[in-house]
Formats: sequence, C-alpha cells, structure tokens
Amino acid sequence: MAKVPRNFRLLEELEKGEKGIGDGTCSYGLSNGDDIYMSDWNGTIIGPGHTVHENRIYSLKLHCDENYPDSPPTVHFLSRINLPCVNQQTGKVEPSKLNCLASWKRNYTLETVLTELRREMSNPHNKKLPQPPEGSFF
Amino acid sequence: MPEITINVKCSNDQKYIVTIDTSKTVLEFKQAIAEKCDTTADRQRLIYSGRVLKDNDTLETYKIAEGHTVHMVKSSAPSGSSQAQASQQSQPATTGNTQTPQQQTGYSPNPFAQFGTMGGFNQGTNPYGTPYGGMQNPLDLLQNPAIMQYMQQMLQDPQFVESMIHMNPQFASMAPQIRQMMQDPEFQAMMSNPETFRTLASLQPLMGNLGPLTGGTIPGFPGYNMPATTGTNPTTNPTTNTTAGNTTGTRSDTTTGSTTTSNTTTPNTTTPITPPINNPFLPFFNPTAAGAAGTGTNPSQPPIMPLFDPLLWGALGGVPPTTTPTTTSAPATSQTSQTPQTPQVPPEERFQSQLQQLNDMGFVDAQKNIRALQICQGNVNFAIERLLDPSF
Repeated sequence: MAKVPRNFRLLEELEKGEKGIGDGTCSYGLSNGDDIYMSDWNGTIIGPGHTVHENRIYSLKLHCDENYPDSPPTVHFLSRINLPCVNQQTGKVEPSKLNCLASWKRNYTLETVLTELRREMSNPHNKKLPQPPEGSFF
Repeated sequence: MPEITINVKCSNDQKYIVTIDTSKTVLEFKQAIAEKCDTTADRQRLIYSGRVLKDNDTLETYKIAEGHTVHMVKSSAPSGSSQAQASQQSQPATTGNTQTPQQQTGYSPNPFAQFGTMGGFNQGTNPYGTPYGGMQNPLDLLQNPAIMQYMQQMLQDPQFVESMIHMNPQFASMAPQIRQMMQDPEFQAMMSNPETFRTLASLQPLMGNLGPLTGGTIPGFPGYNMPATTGTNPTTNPTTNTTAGNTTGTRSDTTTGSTTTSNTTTPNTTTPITPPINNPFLPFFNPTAAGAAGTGTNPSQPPIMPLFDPLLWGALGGVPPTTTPTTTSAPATSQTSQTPQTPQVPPEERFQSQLQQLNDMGFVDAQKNIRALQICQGNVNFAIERLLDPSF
C-alpha cells in the first residue's frame, strides 16, 4: 500500500478536525492556519463523564515534526492535569507512558492520541485522581 | 461579510445548524445557538479546531469556514468570558447546589431573591444534569442536601430570621413566637430531618381517609401556639382547613409551618397565645407514634401532619420561587439548622443495602459511598448524583 505523504496526511486530519468528524469528545486543528508545514496543532479533550474530569475542557498542543506520521507527534498538555503519563513540571505527555506513543504505528492519527489520552482519564485508576483547579496551565 | 453555516455539535449528540456572519463575535454566535437550544449563552463552551473560543473574539479570528463544526460543551454553571475566569467560577459553581455557597452570606433586603437564582430550583437545571423542575415529589427536593444546607445556613443566621420576620406583617405581629419556634432545637431537628417529611407523606393518604374522624386536615402546629383551640376542637377553624386541604396549590400562604402557623393564629387572635406546654413534635420522630396521634388514639395530640401535606409541598416545588415573598420564605422557614439526628449505628451497617447497591453499580470506593449516603440520608439516587459530581 502506498504511503500517504506527510502533508497529505495532515491535510486529511485537518479537514477531519474542522468538519468535526468523530465522536466530538476530542477536537484538533492547526494552531496557525498559515503554517504550510502544518507542524503545530491545538487539541482539546472534553473530560469524560463520571470522572473528576467531567465538564472540563483540556487544551493541548501537538507538534508533528517532518517525520510524522512515521514517528509520533510530541504532545503537551496546556491545561494542568494530574495523570501518570503527564509530566507534572512541563505538561509533556511521556511517550513511554502512553501506549499509542510508545508503540506508534503509521496509521495512528492525532485523534488516536487524543482519544487515548481521554481513555486514560477515565481509566479506573486515574478517574478519581485529585486534579488541579480547572483553568490552570502548565 | 460572508454568512456561513456552522454545525454545532453538542456533547449530548444533538446537532444544530447556525448561519452567522463571520464578523460576529463568539458571544453573538453563542446567543444564536441559545435560540435553538435550551443552553443559555453563558453556559456554552465552544470548541473549534482544538481551541476554546473566547467570547470577545470574532469568528474570523478562528477561521471558521462554511460547513465546519464547532463543539459545544454545556458548563455546569455560568462561566466568565475568559477561560481563566471560567475556571475560577466553575469550581464553586459545580458544587454550588451541593455546598453552601459562601458568598451568599451577605443577604440582600430580600433574602429570597438569591433563592431564585439557584439553578436547580428555578430553571430546572442543575449541576447534576437532572431537572429538578421535573421532579414530581417535592420531598425529593427537601432531601436534596444542597437545599438542606442552604436552609441551614440561612436559618443559622439570626439576621436572616429577623429580616424574614419583618418581611411578613403576620410574622412581625408574632415575632417573639416565631423566633422562639426557630430556636427550639426540637423544631430544628425535626425540620432538618427529611425522614420526617417522608413519613408524613406516607401518612397523608391515611389522613385523608380519616377526614371525618379527625375533622379533616388540620394545618399548622396546633399544639404549639394555641394548644387550647386546636387541641380540643380541630374543626374550629374551617378557613384554614380549606386552605390546607386545597390540593390545587393555591399556596397563597399555606405552604409551610411558620406561615401556616401565622394563618391559624391570626384569625384566632382572641385565643391567648400560650407558651408550649409539651413537645408537639415528638410524634414526628417516631412514625408509629405519629400514626397513633393521627388515627386519633391519642386525642390530646392532634394530628399535625397536614401541615406537611405533600401537595402543599408540591405546590411549593412547582412554582417559581419568586412569586411572593411568603411563598419563597416557606421552605426557608421549615428547613432548619442542625444536622439530623442519626442513630448510633455505624454507617456501614445502617446503609448496608445501599452500599451493596452502589457497589454493584460500580461505585467501589466504600469510604466515598458512605460519605455520600450520610449526606443524602441513605437515598441511593442522591448519593449517586453526589458520587458522580466530580468535585465530591
């Protein structure tokens, strides 16, 4: 199967993000619409219900370097969050601690990452972790 | 400026299509959405392309284009325009209905004005996401720990009681009695125990059937302020009887204890108001005793239940709490301070079945479950709502 080049792939993702295809719990888009390399992305995750994250909106930034999608994006939380896979000093999602980043596959997308992070939030071990006040940032 | 069509996707899978000019601000966009759904602009949070939209920015700023989708999340409470502000507010706001908001200690001239702003009460929406407006049984409302705590706080403030007394001329004329009644720990304990109301509600049909025997329903606290009159002849006051029996909820002034008391006393001003001779509330603590009193086996203890006619409470719960000061003051009067008396049984034992239920439902944190059940007096439904509250 032909490899979809980076930019085509990202364009596809951009369109998907803008049209809101998906379950609506995660959203993403370019942080700078003029960036022709489509490197920097914003993401939001709506906190899953029945957890401490309910009704919260988490903002993230994602960076896709030139090797994307062969290599995973780097992901940072902008909103403060207490999750084992998130570095509490920088907000960086530790690739080694998030399964989809650790064993990245080419067909994974930014949405895959956001959705998995959201799943982490509702993970029984994490869903009751004490959280910093909403709206605080790294 | 071009008009574009934007899809708005709600967290509850609802979709709206809004056509709007891109030069409009996010706030105007929110207002346009508000016209299509029941979420007011200040409770909407919009997300587009991984960003939370700020009220003051225009849609152009975010380069939203034709056919794009914006996600809407309903926030639990009105949030400020900026994200930072929202965070400051939504924390207490989420719990606004469950914990007594501290900022409400400064009472305005009409202390009930604030009552109307309690989201759950007025608009039928609340942080838990269930409409209280749709709640048929006002007893549930009384059991709402938020309401209870709110009442507690209000009644613990002597200033509030004073202002309440002064607001109602009938109260004012009998201020000392009201004040005395409020301070009676027995009264307070009784009023703060939702079980009391439950018991009374369950007794109500029985009372109705016994109408001929007991002379119909007797409002007020007959034993309290005018033991002589009502104690001996419960039917002497037909006026109040009809009001209390009025199931359609005329609710002009019969909704609660104190109000009703004032009604029953006012027409009987000739009756010397005597200090309480015995504790008329005793039956409330013991359903069987109450039942005995109700069935007339103890004629010296006239039935007091009708005061708590669930229908009256229904009328109370069913009206916007802004109708008249009297009406709004009603729940305040009867809900009193002090925590309910709990039997000396460990909560694990007392709530054994409820804990099992919660556990089966996947609430595995026993400590939390107990805490929630204690707050909610063992009501599993409310405990669940508590437990689901992220701030709990």
